[in-house]
Amino acid sequence: MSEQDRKERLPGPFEGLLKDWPVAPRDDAFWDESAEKVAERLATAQLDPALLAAPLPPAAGEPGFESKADEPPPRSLADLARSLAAEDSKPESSDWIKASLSLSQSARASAPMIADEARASAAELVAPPAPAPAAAEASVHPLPARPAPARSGAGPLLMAGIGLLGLAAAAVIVVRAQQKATPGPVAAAPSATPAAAVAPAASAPGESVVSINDLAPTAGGASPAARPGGEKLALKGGGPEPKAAEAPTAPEAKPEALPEPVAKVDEKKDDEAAKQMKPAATAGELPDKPSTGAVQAAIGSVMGSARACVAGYDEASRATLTFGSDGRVQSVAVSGKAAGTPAEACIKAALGKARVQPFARPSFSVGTTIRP
Amino acid sequence: MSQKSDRELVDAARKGDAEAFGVLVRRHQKRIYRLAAHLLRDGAEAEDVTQDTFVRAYGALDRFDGRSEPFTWMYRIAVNLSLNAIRSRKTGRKATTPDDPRIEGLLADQKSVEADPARLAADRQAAHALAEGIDQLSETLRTTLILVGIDGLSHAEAAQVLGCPEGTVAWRVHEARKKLRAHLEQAGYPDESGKS
Repeated sequence: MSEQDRKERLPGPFEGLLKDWPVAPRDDAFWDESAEKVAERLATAQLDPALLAAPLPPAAGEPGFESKADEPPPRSLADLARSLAAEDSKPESSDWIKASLSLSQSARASAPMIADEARASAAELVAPPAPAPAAAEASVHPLPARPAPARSGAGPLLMAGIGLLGLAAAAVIVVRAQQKATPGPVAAAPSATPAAAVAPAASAPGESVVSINDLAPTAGGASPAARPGGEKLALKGGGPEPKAAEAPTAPEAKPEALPEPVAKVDEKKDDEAAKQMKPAATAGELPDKPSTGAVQAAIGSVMGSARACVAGYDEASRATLTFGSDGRVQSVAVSGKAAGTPAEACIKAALGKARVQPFARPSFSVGTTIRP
Repeated sequence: MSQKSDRELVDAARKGDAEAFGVLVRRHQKRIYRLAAHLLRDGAEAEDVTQDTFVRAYGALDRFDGRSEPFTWMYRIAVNLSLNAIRSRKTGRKATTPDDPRIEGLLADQKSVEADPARLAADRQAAHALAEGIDQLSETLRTTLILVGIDGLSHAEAAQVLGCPEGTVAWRVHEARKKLRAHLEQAGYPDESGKS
């Protein structure tokens, strides 16, 4: 018996009691009668499909299951439409609802809105959560799989156009509202130099501001232009000195001319507004810190060189690497046997080559052991 | 006919052989009844669920895809029917009743080998303590413990019945045993695992 089994055993006689627990005995006549009753009822046999579904809800704290109690209640219009589609028995009505769901999805895709919720809802629509395999054949999905509704006809197209126009107008209004809220001589601000257009908004003297764009040089081609309305796309922190501090722009100057007031919805300006909003999405995508796997991989890639530095040593040394938010190693502190020896510089040089992906925190430290 | 495997009997029943299904009923009805009695804690309800399980299973033979054993498939129906019956009760049943088939069965089993009244009384008390401990578990832990700890299903078989991973079954059994040990300790049955 393993230690685990011994620990799980019930005290005294209970273990044996549990394993061989009989129920009230029944004689053979009882079972014969029971089997005959079953045979009589077979002619009327019917099955509720739910009886073939997985019987139990997950227990609290159970691994591998997400608690449904933690799920927020439906709150978006997409959820409302989905529930209506599930409830509605008229096929034409549910087709309309589905069409509007797909239209709202495409509208979200064409105009990246500010709220993450909108993006999450769109993702839900693209890939609805698959039901559990065991329940798949028995349970009824809230949105039963039906053939995609035919989208020929002017109705859906017209709705799509109206939706897009509305979203574009909303985006322009948001941009203009930010513009109006910005104090100072916005219109009179000197036009930014190309360098300033690339650099983020200048920070106040002494303020350590790390640009998201600096932090995410490979973030999928996101526009590095500063956001309008003086909104800083930056995180405060003690990271590397920002390039923006060197940009030849006045602290209050806008690095890029703000859009002119518009009297009508302009598709080009809408595109610009959408572009200017993109960095916000990029900022949200930066991880708070590098993943454990990434850090291990980064250190592993340079560990061979570091170990070569302590070849011949009889004890392991420790090193603490501090990564800056750009993913590069800022500093390496060596302790242990190699500290204070020529091997220390060797280790610093070796580990200093480690790289991780950019992250949001100003810095991130991790310790590692260098064994000879 | 009675020598045929469960799968062969299911195949025959699918083709309309009611006798084959009758063999399946007689082969598994005691086990299904025992499971239902432990889940429901009521002999009469357990009888109904046992019969209903086979009737429902017969109606769903076409849906049996052969990925699991027929008995685990029928077990799932029995568990679902039992849980439905428990949930449809107007009042919860927390305490063990005098006609609880579990206590009745345990004592009937012991009477045949034990004649000492004092010992029988102690056994009755222990059986009550164990039954109460099991009844205090959540529906999920209790059902899993009954399948594995009492009915003797392997974790893999219980996982098929419950439609969850084997690891989840193992975790539930571990949790159930932990809670049961705590309950028994509180009821005056100290954990002696360290002494053995």
